[in-house]
Amino acid sequence: MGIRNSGRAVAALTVIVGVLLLAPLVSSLPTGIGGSSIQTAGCNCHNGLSDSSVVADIQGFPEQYNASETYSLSISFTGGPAQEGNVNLGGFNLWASDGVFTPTDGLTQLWGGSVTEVAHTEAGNDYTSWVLDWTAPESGKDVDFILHVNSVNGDGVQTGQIDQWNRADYTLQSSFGVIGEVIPDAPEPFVVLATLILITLALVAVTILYGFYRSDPDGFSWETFSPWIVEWLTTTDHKRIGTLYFLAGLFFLGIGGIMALFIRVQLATPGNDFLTQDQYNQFFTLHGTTMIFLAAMPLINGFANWMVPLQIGAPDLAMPRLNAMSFWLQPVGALLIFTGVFSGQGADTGWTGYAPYVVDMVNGHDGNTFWAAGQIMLVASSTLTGVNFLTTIAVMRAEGMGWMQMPLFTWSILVANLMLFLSIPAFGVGLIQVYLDRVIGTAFYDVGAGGDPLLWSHLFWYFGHPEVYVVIVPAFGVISEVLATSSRRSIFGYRSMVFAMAGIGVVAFIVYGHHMFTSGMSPVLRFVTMVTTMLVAVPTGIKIFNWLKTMHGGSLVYRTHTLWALGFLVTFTLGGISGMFFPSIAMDTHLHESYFVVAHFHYVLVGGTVFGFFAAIYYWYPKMTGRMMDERLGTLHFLTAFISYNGVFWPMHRLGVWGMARRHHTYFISTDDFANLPPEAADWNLFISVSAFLFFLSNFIMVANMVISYLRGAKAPADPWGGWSFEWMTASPPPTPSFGRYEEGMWYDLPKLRDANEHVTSEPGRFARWFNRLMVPDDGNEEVVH
Amino acid sequence: MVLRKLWQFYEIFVLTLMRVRLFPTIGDKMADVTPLFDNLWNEYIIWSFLVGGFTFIWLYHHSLWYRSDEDEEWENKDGIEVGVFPKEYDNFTLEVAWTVLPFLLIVYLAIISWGPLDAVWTSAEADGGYGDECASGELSNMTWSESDGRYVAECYHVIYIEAYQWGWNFDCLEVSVPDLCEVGTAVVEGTPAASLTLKQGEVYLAVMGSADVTHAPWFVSWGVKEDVLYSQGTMDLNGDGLSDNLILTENGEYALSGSIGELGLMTVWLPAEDVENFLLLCTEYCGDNHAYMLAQINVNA
Repeated sequence: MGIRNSGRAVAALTVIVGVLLLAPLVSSLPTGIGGSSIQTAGCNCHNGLSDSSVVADIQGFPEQYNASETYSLSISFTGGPAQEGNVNLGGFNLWASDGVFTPTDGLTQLWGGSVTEVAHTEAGNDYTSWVLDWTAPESGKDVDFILHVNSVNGDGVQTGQIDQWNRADYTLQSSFGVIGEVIPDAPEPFVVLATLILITLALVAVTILYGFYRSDPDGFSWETFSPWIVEWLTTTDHKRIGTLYFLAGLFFLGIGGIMALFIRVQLATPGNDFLTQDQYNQFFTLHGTTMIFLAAMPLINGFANWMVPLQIGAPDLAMPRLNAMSFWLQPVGALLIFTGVFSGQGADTGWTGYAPYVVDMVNGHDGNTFWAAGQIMLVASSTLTGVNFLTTIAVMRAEGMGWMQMPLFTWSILVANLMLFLSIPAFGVGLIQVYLDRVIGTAFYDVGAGGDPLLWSHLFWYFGHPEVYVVIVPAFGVISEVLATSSRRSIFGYRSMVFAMAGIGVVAFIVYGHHMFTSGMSPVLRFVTMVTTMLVAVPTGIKIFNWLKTMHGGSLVYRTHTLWALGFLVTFTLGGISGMFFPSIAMDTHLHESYFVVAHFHYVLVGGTVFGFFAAIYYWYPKMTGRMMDERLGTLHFLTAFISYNGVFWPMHRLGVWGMARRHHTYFISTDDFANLPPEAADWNLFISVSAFLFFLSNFIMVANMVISYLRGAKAPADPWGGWSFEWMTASPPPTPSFGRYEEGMWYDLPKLRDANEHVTSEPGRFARWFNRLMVPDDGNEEVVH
Repeated sequence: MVLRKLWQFYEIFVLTLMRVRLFPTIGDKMADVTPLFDNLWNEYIIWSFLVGGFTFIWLYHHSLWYRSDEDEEWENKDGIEVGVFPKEYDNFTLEVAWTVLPFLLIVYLAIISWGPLDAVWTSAEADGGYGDECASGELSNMTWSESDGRYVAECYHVIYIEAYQWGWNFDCLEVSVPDLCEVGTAVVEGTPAASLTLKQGEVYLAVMGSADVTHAPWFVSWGVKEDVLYSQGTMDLNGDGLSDNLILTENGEYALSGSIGELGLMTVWLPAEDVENFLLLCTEYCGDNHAYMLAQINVNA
């Protein structure tokens, strides 16, 4: 693609991204979508614009306030819609920059989980005046008040254009001036998050720029940099797209980690107010969404893009442009998901987005709409990726490579994409329903109109449980490659490994009901789901035992990726064992939604998926960059991360058994009046929070190792570890195209796989023939006889 | 005999290890609903140690025993060569063994997990072993049945729990004796919250609904939770200020407006075993004040 065409493509991409980002705003009201809160966006639930005929007032303000003194405030309004018979009743919202509001009767309530915002209750919705207390702050700074009142037309229809509202602003000074003890405002957590994201982006940009500069210091100029960066942004080469996926995945792994740290600071002590409830809910929602969809999935796609074509001896993926589109949908989806956060109204549903809360337009945030829109983009991306990989693996394997001669990492990507391809449409359907419910008022999840909230649970978990396996199965592939190569042996039980992965792929679709044991499931289905869920342990156990047996009689070389693979075996086994407690329904009634669940899935998703991909980074980095990583830094990374990781998640098992609920802004230590958590729970939470910081920081050792090794690492040979699959046949880094040459519409010099087994491979079995026909109707020679 | 001795030794070994409070322990109290829960927990912990111990001993042995240096001579047993699919390394008997043995363990775990289910849930068809609904003033007289391995009672009391954003409404329905059921308020962490006072030794069938989104009451000390869903029944469509699940009876008490099945309400058994006060939490995320959606459950003698 020429530079001019590439530039046009970048411009077109920019326009598309802009349009997609702005699209949801088109249907919003003139004052915006609600903004960070009602005090900035106005009372647009009643009308788009304020009206001067409504006059808001607050009585009870002193001329100057005294520190910590409580004042009784009387809020009222006059005026409003003037049609005949109207009594002009309504509601209010009052926000203060400091101090504490205290409702004094059932007509007012604290709003948005904050003590500095107050509004009418449902019972107090039809009044013209309200009374409440405000306690002044201890510091001497000015306090701003913003009052909104609405006066309704009395016809009971809230969205009528003749409802009216207005706003009044006040500033109150202290009696002791601003010279006294001024407590600085705590930084707004979202501002901190945004700042950290921008710093991270800037560091990534500087690193890329420096890397480019170091590649040719004398030839560094905008004229050389510009085409280089445009080429990256418009590339269709599987290796470059893989790198983009990889960088995006690592970036969001960091962002998700930062959000986890916010959560851990909040939970470090009981009753902490580092985050408001509202902020906390958004942080854990975005943490889950980011880690699953924006970190784990792109990391998988990064390695899959890089390695699958190399492992099967293909020059690229079957549909390179579709591949590029799959990638670029991801940042668009991410921007949509995070846009809600930066309006202060981020998604607050949890990553599971349960209905009917997700379509709750009163208490639920506007960001839930953006969350659904962004997720729809990610669903589209995953679907296209699935099509591409299934096609590539089916039709582009090298000569001599039958289904049962594919490297296990490629098998894992095939199984993962099959699972994703069959499950994610259900999620997409659910998301579209949520989006329509929220944007144009359909009623898929509106109980009053006959909607069914449980439908969402079914659609979500039909996708959600296989999704967990979608992110862990590729790690199985990585561990199979790493352990076999490190042991300098062939993987033990190759066929049973393949069947175990396929078995997990099948069982994944009949177990999701265990997420709904407490949702009123019938006793018979509970039992059936219990048994099917427990069955997952059989293929998983086969894999663990096969990995262990692979080392038998081998010559295990300890490298950093070996350490991570062995660490994976420890943590994933622990996660698997704790997972066996949930299908046992009687125990699930206690452990469900507790920290035992949090411990379990982090042992599987971090101890499994992330550790697997740490192994993959150290294993394939030399192939991807042509540079060896520093083994001492790698070992240091493993030791610090492995220990601190267990410090974070192991104690959570005990907290869960004690009764600490997940997704809670705080936890309660037993008092003389009631029993809940024992006092040690607070100590363990503090320990977990400290360990979380150590775990987060330990991973910078790996990032530093990657950067330093890229700049100064020893040159990597084609096959540094002694692997057998095709990626080790080509140079490090591989050329483009990765294999062969393309002349006059034909590929030449593509690699051929030989087989060290003396037996003659039988004709493909019935299932393989059926699958071949399904995927490649005109190609009857895929399986090669030796 | 030898096997039994070995098993006893193993149990003592695990129990000793469990003294370290970092680990989930045998004897951790899972629930008061039935000691079967605790037995199940203990059995799972023992098997976890067995499976985990077996795996980790194998892992540590092989990873150390077969360790070699980078430059050490090694035998290329499987014909590892780049671009060549290596010799297959397998053992059919072993692979079948570690397919069948975990399967048998799973069958066993499924069977022992089956037992306590009726202790938690009921349905319109099953009485849960607690007889019929108690008449006014009648007592459950809950006792422990060794033969059934669970609590049994002569009858049970029906109470109503309704969740809303962000609190709980309790109603004793037609349980009119204050000792048996009383609704009030308590101060939890400085905030007023609803309280429900029940009587030790009595069995209650909690019939539950939600007034808005999905909630899930977690009776933490009893180890029981169940989702409550927003439904047509929990709306106030007839405009009398009450959930349509309830009607006001002639003697001034509330009663369910239909059968549990007809109303589509969730139910859960609450055998009040010990004298205690504990928190009721919401464990299905429901919005801003989800974490503070509290109530206090008191069980009096």
